[in-house]
Amino acid sequence: MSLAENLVRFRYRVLPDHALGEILNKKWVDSAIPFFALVLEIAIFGILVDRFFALGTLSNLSAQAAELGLVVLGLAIVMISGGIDLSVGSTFALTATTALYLMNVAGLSLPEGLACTLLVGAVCGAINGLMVGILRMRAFLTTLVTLIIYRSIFDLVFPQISTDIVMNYPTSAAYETLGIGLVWGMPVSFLVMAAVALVLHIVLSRSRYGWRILAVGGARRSAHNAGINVRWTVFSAYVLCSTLVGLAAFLFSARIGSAASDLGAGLELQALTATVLGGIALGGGRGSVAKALMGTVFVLILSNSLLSLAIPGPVNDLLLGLVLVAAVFLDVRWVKNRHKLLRAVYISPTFNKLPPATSTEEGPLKPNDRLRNVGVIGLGILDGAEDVIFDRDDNLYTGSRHGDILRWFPPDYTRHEVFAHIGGAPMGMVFDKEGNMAVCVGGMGLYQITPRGEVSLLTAETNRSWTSVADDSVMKLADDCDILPDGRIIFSEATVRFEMHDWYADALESRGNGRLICYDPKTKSTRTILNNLVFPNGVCTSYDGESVLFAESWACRINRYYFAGPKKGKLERVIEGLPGYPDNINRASDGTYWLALMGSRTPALDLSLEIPGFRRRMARRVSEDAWLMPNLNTGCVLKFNEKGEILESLWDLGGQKHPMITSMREHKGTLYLCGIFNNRMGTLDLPDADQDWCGVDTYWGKPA
Amino acid sequence: MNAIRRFFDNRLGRGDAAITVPILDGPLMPNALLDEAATFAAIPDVDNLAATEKGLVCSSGNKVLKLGWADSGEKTLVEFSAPVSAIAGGKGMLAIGIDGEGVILHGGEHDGKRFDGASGNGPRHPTALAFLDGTTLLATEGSSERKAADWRRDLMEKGRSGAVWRLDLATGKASRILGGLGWAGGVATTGSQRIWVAESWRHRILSVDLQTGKSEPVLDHLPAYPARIAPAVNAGYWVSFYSVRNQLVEFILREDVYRNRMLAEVPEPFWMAPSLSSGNSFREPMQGSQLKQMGVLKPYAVTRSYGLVVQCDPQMRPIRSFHSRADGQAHGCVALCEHGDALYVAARGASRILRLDDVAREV
Repeated sequence: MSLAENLVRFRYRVLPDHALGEILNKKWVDSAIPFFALVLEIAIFGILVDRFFALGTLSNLSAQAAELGLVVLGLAIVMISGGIDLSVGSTFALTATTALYLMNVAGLSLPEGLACTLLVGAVCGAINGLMVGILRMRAFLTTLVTLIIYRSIFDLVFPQISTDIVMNYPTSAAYETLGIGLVWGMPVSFLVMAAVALVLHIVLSRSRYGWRILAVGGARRSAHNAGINVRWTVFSAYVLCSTLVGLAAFLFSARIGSAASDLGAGLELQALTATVLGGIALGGGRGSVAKALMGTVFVLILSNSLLSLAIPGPVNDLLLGLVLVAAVFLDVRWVKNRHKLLRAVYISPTFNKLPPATSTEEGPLKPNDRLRNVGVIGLGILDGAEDVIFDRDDNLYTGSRHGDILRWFPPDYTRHEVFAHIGGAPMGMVFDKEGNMAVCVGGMGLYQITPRGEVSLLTAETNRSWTSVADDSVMKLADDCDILPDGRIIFSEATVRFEMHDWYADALESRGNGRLICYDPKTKSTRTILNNLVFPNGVCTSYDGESVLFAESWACRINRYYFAGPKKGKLERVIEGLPGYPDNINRASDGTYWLALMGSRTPALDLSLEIPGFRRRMARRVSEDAWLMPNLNTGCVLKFNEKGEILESLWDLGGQKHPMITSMREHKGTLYLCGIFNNRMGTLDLPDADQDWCGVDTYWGKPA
Repeated sequence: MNAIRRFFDNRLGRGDAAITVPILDGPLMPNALLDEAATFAAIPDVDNLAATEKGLVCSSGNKVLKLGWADSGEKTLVEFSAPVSAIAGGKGMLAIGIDGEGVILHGGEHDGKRFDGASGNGPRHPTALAFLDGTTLLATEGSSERKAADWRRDLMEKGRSGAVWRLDLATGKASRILGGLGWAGGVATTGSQRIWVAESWRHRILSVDLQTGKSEPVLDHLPAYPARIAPAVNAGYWVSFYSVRNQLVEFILREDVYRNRMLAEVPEPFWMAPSLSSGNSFREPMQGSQLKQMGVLKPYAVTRSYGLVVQCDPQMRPIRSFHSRADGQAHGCVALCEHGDALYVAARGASRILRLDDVAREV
């Protein structure tokens, strides 16, 4: 092994390229840019502005953050639902006037005043919501009009009562505390806002209502088709928004105690800048409370710092506007290019030099045409038969791409019925002692089907590993399973990084993305046994029941893991350097094992496994149709014994009938051949085999 | 400046780094006409067709064969010590190119005349021949370093040492008209001082002026690698092709580390490179869309081997085409000739001579 090769191997072992794509896949990555912008802003103004971190500055800032924050939260909800509310500034002016009049002049108590203020806000929102949500008018124009209308009402009313407001004082002590009181050194209003934000966060991210708002904003039509009442959801978003604005206005009037005629003017610009800066998409469907708050703090720090640097008001507004334009630009570019970036970096091939392949020139692996002229079952009916299994009554069970388990009837297997409908692509199958079938379902997990065809979920989650960036507790591609004598089901999950239909991307990566998982029906617990396996595929319990044989497809090897006996907990290699990519393993009648090779190794692909950069660039630049793949157009089944010696092989060169054999099962003197992309199942007579042999009996003994 | 541009081109896959392949469209719209054509004869490794009055001349390895028009009965005309890589017929004589040796005349008044490529008098690795007149022969040489049989290696090495030669039969003098070509794979005369030359690895057909030696592309951005060109009797030309271009091959041509290691370490039949036939071994590379689904190989799958014959008008503009696609067998159609109303095509990848009846009569 050369030094250069060792360097490449070391580099791919040490640097986790795949983590980058997984980080980009995270939802919180949307918040990363606003977060870093905020940190940068604090760093810059922290240096430029005197007393930036002084207690008084921070206290003042948090009081302002409480009021603007509530407005931004309200606007954020409307924007997440796919709309926009430009009338927040005017609503703020109206509700603040209401609050001041009621508290200063009418002398109401805090609950009464608050209730009335919120009611005025809700009415303003209801008008918006009625027009936008129910009558389906354009949000932008409608709220622009209500901006003018609410502002006009304010302009009419305010001069008449402004003198009264200034001349009188509120009588409520609680109201005064709300305005200027401090708890734990923080303004009360800030704590109110924090509580509201916490509730909203839970509502948005954890509750049905929040999900509906996100759904409506993300895809209106799909939300409608999914049964969500789009009109009322949009309506409620506007009401909620204006109510929050009313609360902000109430806090404002408690703090300031009076108002000017430009009250709330330009607030919509500030709030809009804050939402967009925070990363709440203008198109709707994306956003969170944390983002809204980050945007709020950003805008407040910017405008306050500019104020303390004695920059005139109009320049301040101009800068705010420019920041908004920049944020909108970034938002558009990010939404548009995020998936492209993800696509470009997600597939991250690694170094996977394979040991030389066992010779196919001579010996038991010498190619032949024994699989060319075989019998056929279900020609043109089968689609996605990855595995096959028989019960003691000779019924044949196999899966289909449409999410069914089909049952074919003996003796000739020409008739069939849908035994059970699962909904995902069924892969490996096994029978337990009671005759229940356990089946791996791609994208769904491990399922159980009773002899009467009742489907139930066994497990779809395992323990999350500590080092993985992506949440790997969910099962993406449960592949093949087998059962231990004590009833534990061992199954392989081929990859945690790709969905089932992207399996060839995993072949391109050739990283240890898969794992072996154990489900214990007694405790109903699921544990990952082995991690970092290279596309673990076929699983088969050894005859003594102490260990499990499993195939690692892209590593072209068979391993054994011990569950009992003196070597318990140990892993050992059984076969290395296979000439093809191993798939399912099943028991043979003579005490050996059948192994399906889904395809052959090719020197051109083997070479590329040593050059990860080549495969990475290929994944980025070459169409998937033209990617270099394992040669899957050759079918091969071979037999090996407990020691890992290959005894014989059966081939269909060129894959004329059986390309890509994914599984095979011996039953009563016949070998049945499956291929996940094939339109048939093959039958090969085994005249020398035990003509009464049934696989289930080797697990649970012959029935009495 | 150029280095900067190349750097960005390489990152972004633009300019020379672009691996896009033109699609088969317009006159090149795919069909299955080559697969549907009748088999005239089955001859292993058949190549180099030339029509004579008495029969069809072709080559198979070191041998030159003559097949009767009616019975396609096979007769060995002459046998050499090296593979025959080019044949041209005319004026009662045959010009035969021997791979690695040169050109030899057979029959007629110049019978036995040799142009010894090994000593520099003429092409050493001739790939195509054409009579300009009774005493002048035009020859193309794919590469000065690689044998005609090693065309795949030259393609993957991005060879640029192809040449066009003019051989004077009367004086025995050979002169190189044009060099530095990315594999000169075919040549045809036009009746004027200009000739057509297929520059295969640059996917184009050149018009070469015999007097000045100047060349300009007349048909470029082809989606396949052009090979030999044969005249059509009713004016126009038949152009044959080694194989179609493949996005992955274009990519590998720009990936020097992988390419060089592949050429050095992988046996030639298993290269990820264009070929005359594919699917012969389970160790050949496979590409994504070649996976058989429901027992069917999709005809529009990407492929390393392909059968393509294009008919062009006298100005070398494509008129129509004949195909054998990814699911077909008649691949590697590198030689053709017209006789009567039929077009004879040597599908070297399938070791068959195809006869397309009546196609030479139309248009």
